[in-house]
Amino acid sequence: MSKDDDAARVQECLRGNPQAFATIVERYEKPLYNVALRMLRHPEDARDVTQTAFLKAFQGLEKYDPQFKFYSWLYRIAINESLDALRLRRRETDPVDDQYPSDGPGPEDSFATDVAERGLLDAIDGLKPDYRAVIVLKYFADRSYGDMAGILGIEEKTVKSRLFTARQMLKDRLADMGSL
Amino acid sequence: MSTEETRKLELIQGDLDGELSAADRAELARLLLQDPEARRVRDELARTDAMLRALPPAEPPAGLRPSILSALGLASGGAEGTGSGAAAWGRYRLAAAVLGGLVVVGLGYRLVSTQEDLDGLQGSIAAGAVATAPADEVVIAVGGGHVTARLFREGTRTRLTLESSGLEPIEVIGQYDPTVLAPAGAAAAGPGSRAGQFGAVLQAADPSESLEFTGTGPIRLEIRAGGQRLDTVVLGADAPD
Repeated sequence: MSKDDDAARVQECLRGNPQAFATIVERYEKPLYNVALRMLRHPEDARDVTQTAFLKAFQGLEKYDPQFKFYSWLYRIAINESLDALRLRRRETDPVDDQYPSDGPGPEDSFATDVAERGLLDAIDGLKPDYRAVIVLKYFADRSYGDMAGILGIEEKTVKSRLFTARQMLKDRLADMGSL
Repeated sequence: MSTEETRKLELIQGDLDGELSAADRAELARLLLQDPEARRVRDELARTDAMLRALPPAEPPAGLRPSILSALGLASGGAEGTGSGAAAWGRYRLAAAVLGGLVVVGLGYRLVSTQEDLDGLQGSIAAGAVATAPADEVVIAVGGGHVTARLFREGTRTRLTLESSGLEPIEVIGQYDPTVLAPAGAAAAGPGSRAGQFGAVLQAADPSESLEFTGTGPIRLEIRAGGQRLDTVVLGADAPD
């Protein structure tokens, strides 16, 4: 489905055929779930965030500006929902620390037999949310610099800078773990 | 960082991300030929990049899409061809708004609820779960608490409940004969689930799990914590069907 296909489905919805949105759900369910899962590292929270993102998009279709890519808007909702969930989780677990500590191995990979894979997920989990978001969008949603800038509402040069810093952090953590 | 250094890193990263023009690629090729430090940085970042790309995407839980479509009022056979137009659209939007609110409230509740709330909820769930006597039951000591596994036979269905009273996360890996048991719901969608095997994680914030199967048969459970196997038990091996 292209940007035009998405726009056509949105127009169909707005013209009174909400069933057209089912095609959008089918198209973006997996990438949105993966984004939420890698941001939150918890399958149940990822499931809730994915569902909430689709519901918010559906409710707010009239606010969608068709000059932007629809999927950027959808990813933006999912990322914001994930960040909100992380903030709630952080407030609950650590009200004074201004860092975003790793929650330790999450349930989604508790059965991973590959030590390197688990180490990498731990390393991603240890990144601050702003840096985690660019890694997640790059590697689990295959977004370009321009897409990421649109999704995160930041300049492309900031995307590049965050991505570079995040990769350096991951490289250092993996080296510390002996995975590189 | 110097302008030259910044440019070098920009080229290396752009190459990894497939965002370089032909001229940029040529510039990077020259740089890599001349600068061993640039080659070292590129190789390190390329290894990290390769590891990230090798991470497999997760499959959404089987019930997610139907749940979303249902919440939107778009479940199959529901919306298409019935009452199209502004009035129907308004009804769908209203239903979505109400259900969306419930999901958001539900997520917020789950994330901020206190242990007391969870204890009360767990008690309610447990009270419902023991309405029928289990066909088999085992209690396994874990650090600072215990895990209780119960197997219920309900006609041609099997239900397994798991509860942990410990604080540390407990991983449960279940194995069964897929020719006599077929998983349903969470048993099919849990972490590590595949034919003949399922996974569940019990945590302080989410200490119980109920898994459904069609058919009857024994289930082997491996209980793990902190990457260590604590115990292995078999439920239902001698229980009457």
